[in-house]
Amino acid sequence: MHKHKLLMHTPSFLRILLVLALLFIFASSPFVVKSYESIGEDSFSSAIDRAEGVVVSAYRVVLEAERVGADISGLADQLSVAAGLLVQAHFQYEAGNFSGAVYFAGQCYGIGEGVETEAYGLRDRAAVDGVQRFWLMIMAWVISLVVIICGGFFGWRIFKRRYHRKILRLKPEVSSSES
Amino acid sequence: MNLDDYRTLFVAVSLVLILVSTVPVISVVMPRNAEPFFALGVLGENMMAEQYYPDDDPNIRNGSLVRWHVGVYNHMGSIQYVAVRVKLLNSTLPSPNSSSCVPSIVPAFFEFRRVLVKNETWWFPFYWSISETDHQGDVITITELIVNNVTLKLDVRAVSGFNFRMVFELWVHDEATGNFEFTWESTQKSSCVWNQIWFNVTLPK
Repeated sequence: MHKHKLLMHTPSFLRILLVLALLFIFASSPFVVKSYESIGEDSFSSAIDRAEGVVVSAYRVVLEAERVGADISGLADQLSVAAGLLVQAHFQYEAGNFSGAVYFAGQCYGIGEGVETEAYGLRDRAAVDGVQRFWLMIMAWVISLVVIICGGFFGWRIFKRRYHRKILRLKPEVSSSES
Repeated sequence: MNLDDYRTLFVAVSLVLILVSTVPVISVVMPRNAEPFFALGVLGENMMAEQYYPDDDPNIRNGSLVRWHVGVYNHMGSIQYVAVRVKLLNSTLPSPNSSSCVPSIVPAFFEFRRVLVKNETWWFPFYWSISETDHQGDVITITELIVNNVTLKLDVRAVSGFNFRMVFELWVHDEATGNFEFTWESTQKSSCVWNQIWFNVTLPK
């Protein structure tokens, strides 16, 4: 009975085996590997693109911060490090070392993001400081103008009065012209 | 001196003081417009314009280490994101064009990048050696270079190994396009800068 049951199931068992074998062949075929590689390559390449984008956007914010008068030398140094890592990522990618490329791109992304955040803060602070500095300078300028003009006006009046007094105090000398 | 002379003196001194106090305000409102430019230079082993080749011999052998130093100066008045792209050319491959600011069509095999602050000069070493050449008939092909300890595959050939050249192009990040460009705007005109050093390749006997 048992033997008969086994025989009855043999064709379906073989079919399952055949399907499994086919699945195994397809799963291990170079083209599955190839498609995996192409998906991998794309994601590695987009990791580099993301890092590139972060460096560029951080650079833009640093540029804005510099325009409003912030001291950006430290941020520029950090961005240079990020740019160097980006170049390394490109080299690794072109050499086929995709994990290396992702590693350098990730490092670059981290630094770029940090710089961007810091640059936003620096830019906003520098903008406020810049406006304050500007108005302080304008006020100092107006005050200095008032001091110069008023000082000149009153100084001149005082000087004129003293000058007249000095002239009036002078004793006229009578000289004879008998000759 | 009479009173009129003194009045003239008073007015003159007041005007000078007003002018002096106005200078800082003018300098903030109307910043100085200097001619913006970049400079790119390549120096030899000792950071001088000499000793560009080992033993001063421009005929480079496989494995000979060539030590150059590349410098970029930023006089653009603001920070700049720059890239120096290095290309290997022979005498027939097209050079960059300085008048039309078109880069060489040959792809770069190496690149350096940096964000330069205002008036910064950036020097970096460019140490290279030929690690592999191919010789077919009279033609020598450079197939592998080592630059700053990075091995690179290349394929540039020259008859008898004469007149290879290393070309350095300065690319500047353009805010408008979001890409690196081989040109920058300098007082209403486009400018660019590149440099090249010639050398020959000799095969080991």
